Amino acid sequence: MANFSGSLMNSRLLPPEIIWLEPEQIDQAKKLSEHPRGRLSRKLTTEAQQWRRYLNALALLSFEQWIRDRLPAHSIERSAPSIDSVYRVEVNGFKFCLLAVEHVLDEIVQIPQAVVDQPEQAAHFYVLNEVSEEQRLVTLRGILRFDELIDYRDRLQHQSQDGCYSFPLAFMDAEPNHLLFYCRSLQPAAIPLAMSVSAPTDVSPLTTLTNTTTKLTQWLQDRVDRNWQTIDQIINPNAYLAWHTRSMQSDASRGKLINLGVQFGQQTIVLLVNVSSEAEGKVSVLVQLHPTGEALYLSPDIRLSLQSTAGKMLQEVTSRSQDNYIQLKPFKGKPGKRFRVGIHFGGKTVEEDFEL
Amino acid sequence: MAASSRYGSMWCISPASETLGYKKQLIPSAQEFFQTHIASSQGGAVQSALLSYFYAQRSAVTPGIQAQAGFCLRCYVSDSILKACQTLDHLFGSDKSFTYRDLLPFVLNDDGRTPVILDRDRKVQLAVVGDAPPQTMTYHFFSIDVLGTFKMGTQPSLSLDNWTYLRTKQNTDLKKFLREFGLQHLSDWALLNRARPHQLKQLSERDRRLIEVFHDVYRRDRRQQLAGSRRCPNPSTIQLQEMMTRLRTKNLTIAAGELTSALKQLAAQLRQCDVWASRVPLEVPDPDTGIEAIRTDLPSHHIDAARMEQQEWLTFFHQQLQLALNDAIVQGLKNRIVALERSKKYMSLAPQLIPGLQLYYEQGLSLKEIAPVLGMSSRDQARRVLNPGDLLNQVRAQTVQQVLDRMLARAQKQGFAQTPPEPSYLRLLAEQVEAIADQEIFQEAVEEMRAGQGRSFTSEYAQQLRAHLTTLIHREQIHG
Repeated sequence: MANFSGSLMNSRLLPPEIIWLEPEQIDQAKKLSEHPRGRLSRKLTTEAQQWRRYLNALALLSFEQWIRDRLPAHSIERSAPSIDSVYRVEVNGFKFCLLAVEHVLDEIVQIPQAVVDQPEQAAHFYVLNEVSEEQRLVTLRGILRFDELIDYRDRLQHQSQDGCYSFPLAFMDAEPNHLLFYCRSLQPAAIPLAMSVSAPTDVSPLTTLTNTTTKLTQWLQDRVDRNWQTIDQIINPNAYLAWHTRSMQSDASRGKLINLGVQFGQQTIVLLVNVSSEAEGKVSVLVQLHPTGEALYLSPDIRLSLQSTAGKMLQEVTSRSQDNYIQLKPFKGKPGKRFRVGIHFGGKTVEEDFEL
Repeated sequence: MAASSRYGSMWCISPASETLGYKKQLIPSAQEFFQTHIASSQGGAVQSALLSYFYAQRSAVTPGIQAQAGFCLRCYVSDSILKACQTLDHLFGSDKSFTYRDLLPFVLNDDGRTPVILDRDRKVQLAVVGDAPPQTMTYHFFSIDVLGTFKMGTQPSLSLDNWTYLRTKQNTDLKKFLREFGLQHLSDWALLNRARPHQLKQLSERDRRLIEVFHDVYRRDRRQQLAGSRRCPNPSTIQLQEMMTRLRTKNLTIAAGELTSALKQLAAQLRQCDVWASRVPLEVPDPDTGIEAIRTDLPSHHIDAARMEQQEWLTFFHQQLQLALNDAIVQGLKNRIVALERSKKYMSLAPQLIPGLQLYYEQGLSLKEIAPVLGMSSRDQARRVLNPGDLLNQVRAQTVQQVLDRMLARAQKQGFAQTPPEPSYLRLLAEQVEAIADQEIFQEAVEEMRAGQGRSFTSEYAQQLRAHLTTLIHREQIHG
């Protein structure tokens, strides 16, 4: 069968689809990948993440050019990058998720789970762009339709690893032109992206939180559960955020949006967790609670607590009338140690389990 | 390609054929053996039957029979070896310093003439000469090596195709070549830049830290530099200083002046292509791979040849293909000019496209030779402006699209396809159109473009393109 050839070899023997990058595009990618939210939050992003952003931006600009040259009559709309800073564009209602890699010599394609599993981030097509930074060119390596991807995943009973699905490169359709044919001959509805999309605001906050333990040590290796976002994706760029820790470079900071519901009106709060490695293999943790959106202050009387897994109360702090944020006293522990952070307000409690 | 033809002709190296570097050679004894012993077998049974003959105990069949079955299998394997080399070429990307042609001598070394069998342990290659006892060969055919190491019917099994691919990638001489030339086009610093965490797992703790610190400093500055320099420059003294300071906080002390050489050494290690390869090949868990059969559990959208009155369809197809090629060239040239005119940088060079392509296709000049004639600054600029490869790709896409549209409309009218079509149907139809269009038009056009020095353009694509270029230039002269 053509779309499941069973062979590890899958190459297109015509000249590869190459997009040459011009210096302007490189400068533009640098700007795009620069942190828009000021110096403080830029510091919270690791160089590895910044570099990834840069490559993703190069993939975005080159792909846009490729489509523009080939489908001049179609409009291209850019969406905000996803959690993993993967860019998406929309052409005639078709969503393209642009994956950037620096080489394909390992013949494995990794696709972040979030851009597949989260209906609002899923795309009709996943496009693999090989970015040769030094040579200033991008090669379109292959494409994968959403339905094919799901089919492969289910057929292989594929489990994600480190937040990514891995597929053999040979699974991808090596002919990028097929994208053009799909765009011209199909309607987006021909490739259904999800069975149902529930509006997130209608869901009770207590049920949206999964009852899993978040492993913080993995964050230091840049492996993060998709429920946790980098801080800069959550906080309002204009909001004041007093965020400072020592030795920023090695820190991993992630936040999780927690909506405590009606009591807050429209306000959401965010739990920020910052981890950094310390001497003797220990990990240091800082837990803070911030308002998001336009709000400058937390509502008063929100209690943030730290408990042992046995339920013993270790620390707690309560917000006053004009707190920009509240935080637990920073603490350290060895990998494997578990604890529970609780947020309490108006008789409701949201708890999150962690493991170092 | 019919299954039988893969067992009856061999891809052999042919340095003399300037364009491809290989050619197909009919192997009469393989064809004959196939006809007499195998032709009645079906599907996957063909390969198993051939392997059984080839691996058979000496008491069961004569060496002559074994060797004949071997010829069939060597033919089959040659196709996979060739594809493997082309796949490797493809994987290493553009702008590199080798092509698949450089890889062929290491692995496509079967002469297609010597009857060969294996000894009992399947390790030693023996030449069969008449009725005399088989002689140990002094020269080894890689195809026989592949067959000697193939494990038939073991679980989990690899198909012979995939086994050949893996063996080709592991070929010692080929690996040595790739070590030297595979990543030669990248600077040490670009190589360090593109190392990903999972590739570094194979390095020592110290080396990993070195790379991490290099990334923190060098990548950061690379992102912040203006796009002036293309090639990654040597790290500056300031950068090296910062790296050393950072290394010290990681309890790693490197003497000043040694950091550069340590990094270069690391880059040399990364040039060993093994580091980039996946440790565990992701075999496609397809139960049928071993026998090259079409999966039956997948929704298939076969285009029913009988219902489509094949001959009529083929005629229709060929008419459409010719029309489409003509339209696509016109459109392709127009798109290129529009794209150039839209670009601030190349706007002024847009009028040079047509004369440039004429020099390329009519006079056979290289891009390097064309650049000064048209007042361009470098080969690189000529390549970006003229970009004959991209034009070819675009013409091909446009051609296939047009034929596809017509075929689809006809299939829909006759009730073979839904409106709009299913995505999988569309892909399958596109692949069939591409296969025929490539075979009849584009493969040849690509090959002559790749030929390099002293090439001449005789393909149908080149001929039609030239005719259009002449018309355009003529029109320009009248109106301009």
